[in-house]
Amino acid sequence: MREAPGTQADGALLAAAAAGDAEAFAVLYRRHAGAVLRFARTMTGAEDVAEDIAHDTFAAILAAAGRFDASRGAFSTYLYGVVRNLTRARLRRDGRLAVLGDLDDVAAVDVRGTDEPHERLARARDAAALRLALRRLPSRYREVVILCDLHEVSYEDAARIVGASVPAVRSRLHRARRQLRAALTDDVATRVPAWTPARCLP
Amino acid sequence: MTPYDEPADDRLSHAMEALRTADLQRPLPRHLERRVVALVGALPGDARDRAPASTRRRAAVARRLAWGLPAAAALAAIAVSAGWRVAAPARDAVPSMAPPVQARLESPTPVLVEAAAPVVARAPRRPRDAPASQRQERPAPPPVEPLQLVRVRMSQSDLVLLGVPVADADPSRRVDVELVVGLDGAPVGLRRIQLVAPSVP
Repeated sequence: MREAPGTQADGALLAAAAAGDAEAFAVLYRRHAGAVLRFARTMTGAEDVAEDIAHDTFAAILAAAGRFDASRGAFSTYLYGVVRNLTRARLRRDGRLAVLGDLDDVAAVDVRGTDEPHERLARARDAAALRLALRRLPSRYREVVILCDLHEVSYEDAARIVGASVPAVRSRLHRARRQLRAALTDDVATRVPAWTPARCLP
Repeated sequence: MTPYDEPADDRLSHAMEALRTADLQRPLPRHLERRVVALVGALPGDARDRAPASTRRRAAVARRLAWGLPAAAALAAIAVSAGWRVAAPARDAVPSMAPPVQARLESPTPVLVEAAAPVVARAPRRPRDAPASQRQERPAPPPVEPLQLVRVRMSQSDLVLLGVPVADADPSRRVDVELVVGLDGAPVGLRRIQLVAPSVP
């Protein structure tokens, strides 16, 4: 009896997708697309670029489905490695371009779950300030912060993803957090652009 | 406390939690799912459409190199050989003092020469790019007949009889007309018309 795609392991879903099962690939996408998009979005700061990277990531794992070996690590680690490589390649390519960050202002941060409006606004401002501070970090620091602090990946998996040792990851994380903390306490450096209309019509 | 231990409760932790919550609540774009799932529908074995953009670019560069390198090598070889021919002395050039044509004429071997076909005079060719109206045959000119020139003085209003209507013609005014008349006496054309001065009767 064939197992339902929703309960299959990631490796089995990938193999089925490579054999032409679109439903299996859709389940795999829904299972991991959020993490891929969040990683690419926080790394690049642009929603459309993150969508492109996510598309290329899933295209790459489908094209090289035989390359995944479940005995060497989890599928999510493999996926993070692919999206990390594609993101770094995109950042290198667009290094001289200025991203018109649609995620830097407070209005783009939707923080729900709090009833008090001023609490919601404060959390939104904190999130926007952190996003802005992350954009100013070097990419080797930024990626470990995203993996370990935002995506709660273990140090071992993060080290495997970025291709470094665990002490190196911990060192980068420590330095990155120090820079972020300094940026968040510095009002000038973390000034979140307030939403103001460009022009007021009479 | 190790060097990597961080203070537990600070603004950074709150900001991390806020950003994590905000990102987790973003819905997945539906159009992206359609695009991604459509990758499976690509033809089996057509890995170019499934590969990421960077892989496609590398494959395109490799394809161009696969065709371009042999072509460039062939062009370079042609250019080098042409340059060598130009730079080398003309070995086949005929010296001016020893014409080889005469030596061939002095050969004792008889040569059988076939009779040449008679030459047929041909009309000069029309240019190919001439318009169709110019390519049509022109009509033969009319046969030439002896003509006669006749000078007459007539009323200005009578010019209409010769096919020359004059506006506001005055019957009292006279004109001298030189008529070209054929053998049958019919006018063929007008050569000259001149108004006669009023004082002339």
